[in-house]
Amino acid sequence: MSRLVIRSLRKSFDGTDIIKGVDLVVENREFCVFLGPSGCGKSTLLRLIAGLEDVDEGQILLDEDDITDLPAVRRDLAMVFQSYALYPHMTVRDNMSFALKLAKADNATIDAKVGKAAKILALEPLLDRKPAALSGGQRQRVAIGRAIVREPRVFLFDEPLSNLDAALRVQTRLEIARLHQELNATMVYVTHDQVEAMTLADKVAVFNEGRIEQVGSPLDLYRRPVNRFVAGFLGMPQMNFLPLTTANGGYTLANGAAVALPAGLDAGSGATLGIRPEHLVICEGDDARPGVRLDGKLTVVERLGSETYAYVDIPSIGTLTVRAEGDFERGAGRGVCVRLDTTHAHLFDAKGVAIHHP
Amino acid sequence: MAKKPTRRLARTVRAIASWLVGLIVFFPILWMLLTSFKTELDAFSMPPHFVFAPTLENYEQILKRANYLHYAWNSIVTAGGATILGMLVAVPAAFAFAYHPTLRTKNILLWMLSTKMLPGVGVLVPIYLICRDLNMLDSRTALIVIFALINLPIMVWMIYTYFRDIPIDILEAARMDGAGTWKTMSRVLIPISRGGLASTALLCLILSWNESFWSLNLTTSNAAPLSALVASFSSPEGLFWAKLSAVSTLACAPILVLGWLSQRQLVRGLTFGAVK
Ligand SMILES: Nc1ncnc2c1ncn2[C@@H]1O[C@H](COP(=O)(O)OP(=O)(O)OP(=O)(O)O)[C@@H](O)[C@H]1O
Ligand SMILES: [Mg+2]
Repeated sequence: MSRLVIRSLRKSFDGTDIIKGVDLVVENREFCVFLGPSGCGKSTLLRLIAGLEDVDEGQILLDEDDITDLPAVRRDLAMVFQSYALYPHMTVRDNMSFALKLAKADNATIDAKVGKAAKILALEPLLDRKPAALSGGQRQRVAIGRAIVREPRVFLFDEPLSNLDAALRVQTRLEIARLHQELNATMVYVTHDQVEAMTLADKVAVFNEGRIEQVGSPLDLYRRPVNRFVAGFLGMPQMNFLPLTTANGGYTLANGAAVALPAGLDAGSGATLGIRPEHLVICEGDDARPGVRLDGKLTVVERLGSETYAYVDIPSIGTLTVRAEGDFERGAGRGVCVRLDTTHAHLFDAKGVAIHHP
Repeated sequence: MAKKPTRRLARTVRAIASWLVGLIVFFPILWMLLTSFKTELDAFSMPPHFVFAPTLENYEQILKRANYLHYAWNSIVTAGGATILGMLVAVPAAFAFAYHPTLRTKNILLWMLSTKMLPGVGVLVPIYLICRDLNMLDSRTALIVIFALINLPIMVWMIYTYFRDIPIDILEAARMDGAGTWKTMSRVLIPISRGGLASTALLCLILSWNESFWSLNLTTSNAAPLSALVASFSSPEGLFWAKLSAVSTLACAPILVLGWLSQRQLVRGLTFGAVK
C-alpha cells in the first residue's frame, strides 16, 4: 500500500510563494501526472514530496505516516531526474545496486534484483559500462532501473523524457506505461507535455501558478474543463475562444452573428464561448447544416498527413483553428466559411469559470 | 594535398616553440642541478661553463656538515601534516559553500581569499608571540597548523570550484538512494572529484614544502625543515653558489620526483572543469 495525501501544502522561496496551498490524493497504484506550464511549481511540489525541499506549511502523508518532516534519506521514495543524475564513477550495475548496498542488502538479493531490473529494461549487455559510454536513451533506462531495484513506496519522475529525441520519447513513454502495469506501483510524474499526460495518467492534476486548477482522468479534463485555463491548456491545437456579448436577451459573437445557447442558460455579461478545432467544420458555398455560419479567409494550412489544421481569419472575430481531413485540398488565401455548431460549445463566465459543457 | 606541407610546417613550429618554452621554464632547475656538480670556482666563472669536470664534493661537505635526513623528515612531517589537516578542513568547508550556499557565501569566499593578500610579515609578531606563549616555538605542530592555515583559502577555493562542476542532482539522487551526508561525501562526491582533490593536496604539499618565511622565523633546529637548511647555507661565510645549489637540489628533489610521478593526475585535476 502506498497512498499519498497532500494537505494544504505551501512553499515559498525568498519570500515568493511558489506552492500556494495544494491538496491532492494519489491513490495506491495510481499513475498521477502533474501537468502545467513552465515555472508553475510542478517540480517544486515533487521535490517537496521527495523531501529534497523543506515544507513551509501543510502536511504530506504516506499511508498512515506523516512524512512531512522526515528526511529524504528515510522516505523510501525513488526519483528519476530529468538529467538522469547517474553516478559517473560507477558502472551501470553499481549505479543500480547503490541503494541496496547502502541498505545493507546481501549480495544474492542485490544480484537478483539488479538482474531482474536489467532484464525488464534490456540493460543486461550494458551492466559493466560507465554512464559516459551510454546513449541518452540507455542512461534514461539506467535511471529508471536504479529506481526499480529499490522497490520504493512511490516512484517520482521529473520530466524524464524531455532530453530524448521524438522517436525515443514515444518508445520510452510506452515502456513507462508497461512498467506501471507490471510493477503495480504508485507513480507521480511531472511533465509539461500534454501527450505524456493524456497517454500515461490515471489521474492528471493541472497546475497553474502554484495551484491545482483541476484534478481528474485525462478524458474528464478534456471533456469537462472547469475553467478557461484547463480548457486552453489541454488539446492540440488549442480550443478556440470567442467572446460573447448580450443583445436583446440573446447572445451574439463579436461580428454580430447571433448564437443560440442551450435553453435556460444565463452566462451573464463578459462570457466566452469555447469550441475545439475538431468541432468546427469548413463548409461549402451554401451549406445548410445547423449552426452559425462565419465567412473568412484561410491564412495558414498545416498538413500533418492524417489530418489538417486550417487557420481561418474571420473579420472582427479573429483567427479560428479548424481540424479538417488529411485530404483537405484548399490552400492559404482561399475564401472559406466555418460552421460553428453550439451543441459542441463550452461556456465560460466573465471570470473564466466553466458554466456549461457540451 | 597542397595543404599537407603547410600543416607539417605549422606542427614543427609549434613543437619547437613548446620545447623552447619548456626549456625556459625548466632552465633554472637545470642550472641549479649543473651548478651543484661544479667546484666553487667553476660556479663563479664568467662566462659560465656548460662543460666542466663534475664533482660530488659539494654534496659530501653538506652531508658532513648537516644532518640532511633530520631536515628532510621535518619537511615530510610538516608539509604532509599540513596537507592532511588542510584537506580535512577544506573538503567539508567547500562542500558547505558549494551545496548549501547562503546569501553571504560569495562574500565569505572572497574574504577568505583576501587574507592571502596580507603579507605574512604583517602578522609575524603576533604569531611569534602566540607560539612562544604556547611553548610551540621550534615545534613541528606549530608549522603544521600555520602551513595548513596559509594554504586553506586556496584549497577551499580550488575544491569549491571542483564541487561546483558536479551537478547537485547527483547528490540529490544519492540522498534519495538513502545516503546521508557522510555517505554522500565518501561514496559519491569524493570519488567523483578525486582528480581535483589530488591536485589540491599536491599543490598544498608543494607550497608547504617550499615555504620558508615561517620556517625560518619559528624554528631553529629541532623542527627546521629543508627550506631552513637551504637558507643556512646562504649567509654566514659569504655566498657559496655551488654548495647552495647542491643543498637546494637536495631540498627540492623529493617534491620534484613526487610531482613528476603524479603529473598526469595533476594536469587532469587542474583542467578538470575545462574538459568536462
Ligand atoms: N531553490 C529555489 N530558489 C528560488 N526559487 C526557486 C527555487 N526552485 C524553484 N524556484 C522557483 O519556483 C518556480 C517554480 O519552479 P519549478 O521548478 O517548480 O517549476 P516547474 O513547474 O517544474 O517548471 P518547468 O516545467 O520549467 O520545470 C520558478 O519560478 C522558480 O524560479
Ligand atoms: Mg520542472
